[in-house]
Amino acid sequence: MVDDILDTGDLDDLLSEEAINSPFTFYRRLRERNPVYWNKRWNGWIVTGYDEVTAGYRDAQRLSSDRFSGPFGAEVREAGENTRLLDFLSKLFVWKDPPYHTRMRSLVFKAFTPRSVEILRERARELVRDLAEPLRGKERVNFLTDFAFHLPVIVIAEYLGVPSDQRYEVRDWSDDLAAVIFVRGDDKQRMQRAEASLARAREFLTPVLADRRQNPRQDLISALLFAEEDGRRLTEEEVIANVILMVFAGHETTMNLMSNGIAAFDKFPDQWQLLRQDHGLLRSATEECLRFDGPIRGLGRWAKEDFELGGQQIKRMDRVFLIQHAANRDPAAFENPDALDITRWPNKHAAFGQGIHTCLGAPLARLEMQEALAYLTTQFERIEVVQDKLEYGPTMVSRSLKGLDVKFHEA
Amino acid sequence: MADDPLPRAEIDHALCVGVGECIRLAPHAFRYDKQRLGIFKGKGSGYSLQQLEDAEASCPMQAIKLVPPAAE
Repeated sequence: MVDDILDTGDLDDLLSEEAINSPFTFYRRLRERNPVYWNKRWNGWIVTGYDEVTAGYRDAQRLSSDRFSGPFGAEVREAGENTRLLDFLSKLFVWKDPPYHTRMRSLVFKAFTPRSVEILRERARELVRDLAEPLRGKERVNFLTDFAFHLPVIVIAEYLGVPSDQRYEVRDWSDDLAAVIFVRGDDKQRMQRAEASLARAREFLTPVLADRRQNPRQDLISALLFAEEDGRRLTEEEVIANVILMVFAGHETTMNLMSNGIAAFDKFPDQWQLLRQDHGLLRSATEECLRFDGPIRGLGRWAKEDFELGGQQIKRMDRVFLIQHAANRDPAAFENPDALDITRWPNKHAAFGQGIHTCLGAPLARLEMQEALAYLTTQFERIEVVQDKLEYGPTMVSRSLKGLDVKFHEA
Repeated sequence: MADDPLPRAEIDHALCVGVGECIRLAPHAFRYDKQRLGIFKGKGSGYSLQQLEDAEASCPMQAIKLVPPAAE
């Protein structure tokens, strides 16, 4: 029995075949053992219960995101002789606590409110139409590389004001940087590749910044260059760091959201039919895709003081890994959690995290997903994943398919 | 007082995830509760209509709704 084999699997191995490719059974076993579980190998707490994960995300006072102090800081410093890369990474507000985080986030957040991103809807709609054309009439397309990759990277590049025709280049350096930012920053080789990519990103962005200083446009780079908070502007380095952050945060995650969503609809074809019939469900369908199989598995924090979480005693300097992917399938929080139900509402999933670090780009991700689902359900009567086994990238942080072969059936 | 009374803000806790933009934008109108979700503590002073409207428009979860005083 497969289940018996899985049940003897190693709960401490966060990168096992089961953890990577069948995470929901793995998380369930972890949660059933203890929703706040001490993992000897990772040397930290693995949090899989909904209440515990959301409490952890909201408690930014006691659970730090700072990668430059605490237990993560020592690792990062050990790996990085490379001060330029560390200096760059230290400017990313995802990795910071207040007050720096608050100041940086407030400078960029205005561009990402639900109202602000609405201006991108028309363009997103147009791009979806164009990008969907090549999906027609083929026995198989790789949805991930042929559709899901392009939409978010073009939208964010245009919004920022960087040339979107260079998106493959953008993807390459963004992937290398994401590998140290989102995965782990304690691998020397990875750090070296990231350093090289940072140099390329800088080369790519410097002339764009120089141009916008002279000729500001209605784009995000111009806004960042001239944004002022308490009479202080961002430095050029801070603008570059933020642009890079938004490029990779804005493309890989949304790409994975769309791909994971298509894989989910393939398993629940009745939900695809339901959405085809009622586009009033686009909003709740998007939230349900986020809940059911969102793009982020979990993120790390560390304790700034002793406290209790889910009955466990967390000690100062302990590492804590908050797995929203698991929280979103917790039966204590969601009825019938392993079913995709696009009518589920309210749907207070934790796919974007919660608290002060809640995904800044959430409104944009939602908009893109809604537009993609709106058009694809109109055009295609049925979708069919034509691949025996789905395989995911071996990381603790992102839930990223390696590819997704799909046949789109027209009506 | 001749000034029109300010609206009240309602925060839907089925949507709020405690991002705290409202607290940053109007610290005298909003605060965190024990679960670290936003709540309206407005007593009608210490903040402006503009601040309330900014908080409503900026909430990434669209969890804030302003209720005109006449509706009470």
